[in-house]
Amino acid sequence: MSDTAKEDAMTSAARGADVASLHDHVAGPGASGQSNGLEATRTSNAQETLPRPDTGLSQDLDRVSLVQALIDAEAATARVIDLTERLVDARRQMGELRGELEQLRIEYEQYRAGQERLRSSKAFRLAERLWTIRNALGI
Amino acid sequence: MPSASEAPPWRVLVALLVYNGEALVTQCLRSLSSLEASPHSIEVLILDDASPAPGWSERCQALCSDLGFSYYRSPRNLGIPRNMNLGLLWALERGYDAVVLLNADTVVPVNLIPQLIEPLRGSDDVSSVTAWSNNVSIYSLPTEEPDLLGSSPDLVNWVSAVMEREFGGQTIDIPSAMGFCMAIPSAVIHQVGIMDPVFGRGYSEEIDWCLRSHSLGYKSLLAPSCFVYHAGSGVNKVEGLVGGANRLMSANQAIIDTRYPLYSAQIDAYWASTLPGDLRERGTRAIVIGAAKEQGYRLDAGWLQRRPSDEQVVRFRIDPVEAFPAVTGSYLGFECTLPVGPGGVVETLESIVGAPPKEIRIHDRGSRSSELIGAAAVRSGTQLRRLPYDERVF
Repeated sequence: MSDTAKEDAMTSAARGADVASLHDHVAGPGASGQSNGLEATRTSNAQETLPRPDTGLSQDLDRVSLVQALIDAEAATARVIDLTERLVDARRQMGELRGELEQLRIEYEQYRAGQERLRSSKAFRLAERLWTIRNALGI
Repeated sequence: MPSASEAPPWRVLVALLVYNGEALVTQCLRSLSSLEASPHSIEVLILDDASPAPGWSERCQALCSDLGFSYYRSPRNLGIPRNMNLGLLWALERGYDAVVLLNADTVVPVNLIPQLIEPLRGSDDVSSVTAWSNNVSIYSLPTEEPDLLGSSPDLVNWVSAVMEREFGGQTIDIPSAMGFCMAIPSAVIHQVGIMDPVFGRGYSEEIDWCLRSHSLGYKSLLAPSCFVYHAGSGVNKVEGLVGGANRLMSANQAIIDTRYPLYSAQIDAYWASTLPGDLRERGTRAIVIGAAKEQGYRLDAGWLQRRPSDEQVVRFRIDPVEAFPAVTGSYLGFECTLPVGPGGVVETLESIVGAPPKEIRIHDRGSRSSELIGAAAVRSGTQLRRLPYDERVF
């Protein structure tokens, strides 16, 4: 599936889920069976327990709110998709950098061990003493 | 573009964002019922963001009904940015010319609408106008006694009327509007869009909106001619929506810093300029001197900055010796400093206020105190009181 197709599929899924969920909230649990459009939420038998004084105003604001909620959900989905892609990319980069870091650590340890071997050899210690004597004599 | 006076009046929607906070909201609603509309028409829409407090939504609805306001309760909690968006979208839906987004922890003055709307009508490059307030972030006109204003719409009206006389519709360019009380023209909403819901429960969403509008060539204004009392995070703090070292605020601030790296420098530049200080000084002087002219004043000579027992009395205080040649005036917790002229303290105040003090109180002895005792002796309308220790209010 292409990136665009995946994005469309996720957006559609989010839209369906949100409409169903919002439908329950706006129209009440009794108003089921219509979840495929904004008008589906505008039922006359809304089971609201909380104040809904001006039915016309409430219904219109419900509609405005619902449309915006769907747009917000689409935007949120698109953002999740975008951020997920960035996260995957960042994780990949992090993995590569960790590998590079480990490689450098190993190389450094090898270099340090080589240096240590060199410093502990008889020839190095002899040369070091000779340099000390030369420095003391000012030669 | 026709000038503001020639343009036809606007239809203005005031969208009040409510979430619990019954005491604060009730005051706010009552102040909204006194709004002066002329020449515009005003409709008030209360957007109750599914307040969970038992019975509050019903009471709020009943109060709105009594006051003739529209009321809408969201089926579920949206958070401040999305509740704001509902107001913005409703303004577009119903063809309002402008929308005023208002927090519920405010008390508005009668001159709110004309003072916020005129700058929008007079220019087509303004995306928002913010009212002045005791609590509006770096733009505040601070008072030591904010509760006095919060409990009295008359005082808020008085302060706002003084500010209107002082500033006469003048506006100040600011880095960003503040969402507690901002007017937005509908034409700009069409271009800029609405608040970004990424700001969750709120804070900084209006800064993001303003900075988006600035990128399109608009600017944000502060209207010092209009003073709104603002409790400040009143509802959110009470309801626990902010807390935990203000994590929400810092998270949202991080979004702003990421999107607009220059914004904090703009704030620093504004703060470093003489503008905020001059504005505050001018505002507080207008309040203190205006009140002194209307109701008279008292002059105190003493070393200590005593907290007065009655902040509704206009009071000037001066050190009892002449080392510091300035007098500090205070009223309703607003404070200003006035330089003392060569004629002395009482003459300076008489020339500014137009009348001698009603009363001079001597708290401590000194050369200045002696001068005041002499000044009181030659002014028949001035009462002199020397306060022994037990009468002093610390």
